[in-house]
Amino acid sequence: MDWTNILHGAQQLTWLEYIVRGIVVYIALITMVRLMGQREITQLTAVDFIVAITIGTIAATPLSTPTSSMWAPLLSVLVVIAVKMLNTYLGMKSQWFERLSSGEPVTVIKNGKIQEQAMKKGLLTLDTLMAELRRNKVFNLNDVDLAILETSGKINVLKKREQQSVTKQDLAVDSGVSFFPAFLVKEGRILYDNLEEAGLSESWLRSQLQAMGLKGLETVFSAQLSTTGELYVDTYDDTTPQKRNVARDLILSQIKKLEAQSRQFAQQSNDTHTGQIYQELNAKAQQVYQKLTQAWGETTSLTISTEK
Amino acid sequence: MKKLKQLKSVESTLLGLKGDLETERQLATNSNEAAAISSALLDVADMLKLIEQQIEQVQKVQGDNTNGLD
Repeated sequence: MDWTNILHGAQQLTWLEYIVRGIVVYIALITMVRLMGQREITQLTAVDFIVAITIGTIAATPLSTPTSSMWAPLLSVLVVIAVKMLNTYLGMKSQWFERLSSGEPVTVIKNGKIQEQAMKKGLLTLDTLMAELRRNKVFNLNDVDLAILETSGKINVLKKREQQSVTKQDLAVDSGVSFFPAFLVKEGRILYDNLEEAGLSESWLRSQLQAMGLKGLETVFSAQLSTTGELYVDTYDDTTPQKRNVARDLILSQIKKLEAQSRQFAQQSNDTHTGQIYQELNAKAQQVYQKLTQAWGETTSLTISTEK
Repeated sequence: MKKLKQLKSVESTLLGLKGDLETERQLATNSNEAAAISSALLDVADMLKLIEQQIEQVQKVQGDNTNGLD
């Protein structure tokens, strides 16, 4: 293997030299593309697409042409990336420049009406528009309030109010406190930063694990706090404790269901005798609930109290 | 009919609860837990008896009414 041949090119390269060239080009490209930032990878605009093709074509030269040096193509790639970065930087600084280089979003449907001029400007056919609408789960033009052709070529759709999905806000449903879904334990180690961020303490976490019948942190593979404030624990030994806990939760939820049923039926009942029976049932159900929670510990339920 | 439906619904919940409690009693790891579950089971059995009596009464009344119509 001759490094001069690898770097400057030769009439013929050995297999090993080709392999080394491939590895060097790969590492150089990864480094340079990382310099461009995450945005370039996830949001390909027309300019990004051209840059990506250009880089790919230039970088392929030293891999397929033995006489080509490695420096010139890699330098060219570096120049293209530098220009692209300058373009992005200028676009961030100037709205005018951003519009010039990347174009601007075009409104193609307004109040369910197609904007023909905008369609021409965006070189968009009716079939393509309808396909994009269907991708957005819209099948009638009349359902659309606004459709915008983005610079990436995608179409984003805003449905009319009556066609939008019902939200919890619409139903006036209290969704409660929302937690950031964070891991509190990973491979037996407590993640103190996440615990603190959630406003919880180590003693609280240990008491929860104890209530689940777990002997210690070393038995826990992961413990995650869900957005609803529930603690989901995954143990190395995926058997008894978790299952037991689920069974207990099921029993307690059945008692709560019984309480709710008896309360509701007592209210609905027309005759006094039946009403009294349901009330008696409700009181007994509460007693049973108390007995069991005392025996299993107050923290049997996996739901975290929001009173921190 | 609504009354019977409500009673049957409660009976179904109680039967499910009874079954789960019996399973849990077998798995109890200490005497306190076993005692609490046994006590809960007795309460559930009482409630079940009460509901079953009510169901019988309602069914009897309905049966009488049907015979009366005949």
